[in-house]
Amino acid sequence: MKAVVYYDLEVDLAVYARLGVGELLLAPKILARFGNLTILQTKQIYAQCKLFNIRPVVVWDILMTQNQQELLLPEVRSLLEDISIVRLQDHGALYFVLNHFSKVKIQLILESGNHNYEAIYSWCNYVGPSLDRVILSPEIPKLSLQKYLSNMQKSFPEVSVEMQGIGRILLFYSPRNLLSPHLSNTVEGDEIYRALGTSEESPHKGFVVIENLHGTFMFNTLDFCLLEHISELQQMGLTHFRIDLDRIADLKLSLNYLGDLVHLLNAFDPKKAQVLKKQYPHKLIRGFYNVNKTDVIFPKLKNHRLQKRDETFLGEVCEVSRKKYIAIKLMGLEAVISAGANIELVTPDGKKMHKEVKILKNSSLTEVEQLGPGQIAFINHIRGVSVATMVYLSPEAAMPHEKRP
Amino acid sequence: MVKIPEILAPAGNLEKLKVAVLYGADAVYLGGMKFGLRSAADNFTNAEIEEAVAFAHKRGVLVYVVLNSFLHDKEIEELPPFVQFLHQVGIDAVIVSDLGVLQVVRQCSKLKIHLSTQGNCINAHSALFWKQMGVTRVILGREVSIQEAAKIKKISGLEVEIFIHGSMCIAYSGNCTISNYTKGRDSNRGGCAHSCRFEYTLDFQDRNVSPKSKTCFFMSSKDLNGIEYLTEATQAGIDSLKIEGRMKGHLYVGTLAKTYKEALLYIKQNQKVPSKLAASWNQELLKVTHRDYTSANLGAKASFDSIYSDREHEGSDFIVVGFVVEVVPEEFILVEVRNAFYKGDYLELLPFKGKAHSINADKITNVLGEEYTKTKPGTLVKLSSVEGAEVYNILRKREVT
Repeated sequence: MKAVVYYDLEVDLAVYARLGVGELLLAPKILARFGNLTILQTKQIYAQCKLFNIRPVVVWDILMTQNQQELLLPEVRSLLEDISIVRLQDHGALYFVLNHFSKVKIQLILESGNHNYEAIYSWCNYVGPSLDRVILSPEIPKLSLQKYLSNMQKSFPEVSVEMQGIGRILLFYSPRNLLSPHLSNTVEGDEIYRALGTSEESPHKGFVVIENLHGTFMFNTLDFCLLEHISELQQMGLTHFRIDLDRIADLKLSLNYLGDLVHLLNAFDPKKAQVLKKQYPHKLIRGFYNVNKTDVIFPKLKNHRLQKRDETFLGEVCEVSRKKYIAIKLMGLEAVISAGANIELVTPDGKKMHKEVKILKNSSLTEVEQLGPGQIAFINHIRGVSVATMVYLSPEAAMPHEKRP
Repeated sequence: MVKIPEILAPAGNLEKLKVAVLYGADAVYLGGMKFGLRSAADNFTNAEIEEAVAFAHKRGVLVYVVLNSFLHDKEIEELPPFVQFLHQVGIDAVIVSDLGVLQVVRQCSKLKIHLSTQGNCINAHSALFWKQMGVTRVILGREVSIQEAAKIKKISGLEVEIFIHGSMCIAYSGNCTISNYTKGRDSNRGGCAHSCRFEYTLDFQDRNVSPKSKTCFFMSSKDLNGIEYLTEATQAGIDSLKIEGRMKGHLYVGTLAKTYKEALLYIKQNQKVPSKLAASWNQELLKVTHRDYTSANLGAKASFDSIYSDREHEGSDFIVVGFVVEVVPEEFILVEVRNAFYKGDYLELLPFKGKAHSINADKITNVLGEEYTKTKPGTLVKLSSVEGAEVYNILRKREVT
């Protein structure tokens, strides 16, 4: 498994080469979310990388509105003429590169969603021979990842697969400027603002928030780390492990640390992985690597007793007058209630009752034989029934006559 | 006469769908029990979807079904029967954000596919890509202006839909996972916990700036209100204007569908809108639940005044007091009470078309004929007959503060 690292302008390419970094991400300021290179610098460093046997990849991971794209395309064109690999997220950027620079290889960022193989397969299929790599979401759990990597090896053996291995977890990307407007005194020419955000919602403290020319980004309070799973990921077939140390302040520490990480990727040692985890300057989590249960709460968001069953649904109790009557709003295209019908009532707290409709009245309280969709049915009062109780035809009543007991 | 855009209204449940349709929506969007982005909404059972389609189509209104969650493999496997069902009942399009979902829809149906705003289509090249994937309409990201939307339409040849009203994500849609990591709820699968609406203390790390720290609602967006941009949207040839809010109530759905539709019909006939009339539409929009309004990116890039710097609360000038559930002409209207009102209160009955009728609740009785001085939510009351009242009309009352 190979390391993928963001290039830092302050570090010589020779240093990266010495540390064993085989691939560098070059981030132009105008195209990459956290870029700081001019287009000229990007081109120059791109050319120099080859001298150090480092594979350079240009990052174009911002999302662009139509006007922004029109504005930037001349510079993008000039850049793409001089490079052979670009990393993209915007589908418009993908379309543009495929159609105008068919020789440029594409690394496609699939980190936002794409949590099913059907999607990953379709992207690979679409990009075709131009696809160099896909970058999968860090939210994909181990078992799914294993399946995807196995399928990828069979269907797209030439395409490499990368995941973030260690670094900050990006929580959101907004095009709006969310920090600078709060500052009454800013330094002219500054384009990057940083803050640590603490949510009123305990215990979330220390979100790193960064504003730059592309908008505002917020990172999780804990960083992501799969160091102890390197061997497992290698066996599964992950080809590239991204090391995102670019936003960690102490550069010297970062460089030494980077060297150790690259070494760990080449010769995995679980004890060393633990040591490196301890040395990391922030608290670390595995995210959803073991299991992704971010949807288990969904069923609890609703009162399932208030969820209608399709078959036999008549309507909902809309008024209860104690000892006098119950009003049922007949809903549904075929909701018909008749005097003498057997009904089932399911209260919001889950109690089920079966009753016979002895007397059926309309809103003028005139006795009627039958009422239909959209009408309000008034029946005898039933103890324990409240507003929002669901009313169904009794399962027996709904059965065909010949099957009734 | 100019072609006006479609008004696309949210339908959180079957009752709200009927309200949206009756109050003037040209199309509605709804979610089934799975695969959508509003896990906490009532959503629709299959039988309700069938009924929704019958009800809407009978009135010439289109029905779109959302399949815009970021699905996992297991759900992808479960999707085909539901897509086939949707095809069979004759819905008009599905709204999709995930390429895997899109492929499943194409494999097992001939349904039209609209790209969800979660798909981040904000430029013409992106629209051209989705066109190749078989999409017939792109729901553009809320980051684009109307003029950009017009360019995207012209270049791609696709139908374009833009958001015209409602709550806004502060992030690019689909690019926010705050809830995933802080609450264990996947925001892109229907579990958004609205963390952007919380108050945060920001400690600025740069020594050269002031203040050093600030406690504020720094990433809560105001609500979108595009009523003043309808002429521009019409002239730009926008195909559909979407109202956000499947979790919102009946008053919201009804008032917005009606106001936007009536405004567009006026523009269709007259093109220019007198300021007095525009002001009256804006007044109507103040009567529904909303945060402060912004036009966001519709005209120009959203600036700082698009941020809602207040604790999350949604206020409105009016509250819904009930719905007409039965009309017996010249005798009474039967009202299902949702919020209390009193004998003698002045209420407004919002007809499906035209101006609201002021009515005095001078006599309130229950169905037994017993008089009330105060109504209670969850009851049925009779009010004097109101000319032109129809079932599903909304009754609202000015909120006394």
